Amino acid sequence: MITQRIINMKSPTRLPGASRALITVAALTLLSGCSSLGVKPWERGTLAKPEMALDSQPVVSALDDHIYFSKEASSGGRSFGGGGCGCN
Amino acid sequence: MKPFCRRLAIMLLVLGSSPLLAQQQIDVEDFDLSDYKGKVVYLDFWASWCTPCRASFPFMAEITGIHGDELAIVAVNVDEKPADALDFLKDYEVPFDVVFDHAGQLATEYKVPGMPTSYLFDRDGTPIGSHVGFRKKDMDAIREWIADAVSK
Repeated sequence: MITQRIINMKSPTRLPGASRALITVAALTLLSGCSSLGVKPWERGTLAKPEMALDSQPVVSALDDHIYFSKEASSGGRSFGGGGCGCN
Repeated sequence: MKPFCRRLAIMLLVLGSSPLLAQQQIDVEDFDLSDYKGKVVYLDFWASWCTPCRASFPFMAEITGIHGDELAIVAVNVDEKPADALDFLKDYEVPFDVVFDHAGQLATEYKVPGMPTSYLFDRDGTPIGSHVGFRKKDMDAIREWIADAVSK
């Protein structure tokens, strides 16, 4: 009886064919979904605008970084090139 | 009729003296590389937002002056907005042809890998090679590259 139970527990539950097909299709769609997101080199006009830059005001952020460094005695964490050694 | 003719003459005079219209401006649909057969062709893809392209314009004007009729420089604009391209052209002396490819049709055909990219063709229209980007240190090499193609 116990052996029978163990056998029952070990046997894998197989999904019906339609469900498997659905999962495969969904996985393929999700995996290939980002394959054609690339902007071509000649289409970067909008991305090249100053307001599209991650850091649109470099002077202001440099000042903020300086204040942060002075107050917290540490630097980095936001697009900063130093290693936080305080030797800048 | 007479005032009309006078107005037309003034208009042509004004348009003719504009540096912007000193060269041919071609729509991408009307562009055919074989029209330049017999000349070495330097085909350059540019856009108003591309900073190195600003440096390449005076260079291309200089090269045109050196080789004259032996060389045809064709600058293909890929700006999505035509007004951006026209504003850019106002800032430079453009003694060469400009093709407007606002939909990127020609750029797609050439699979332009970066901005700017230039292609060099020999007198028969056979591609010699391409050059991606434009840096000051590249200028001498491009000059030699073109001079070599023209001398053949």
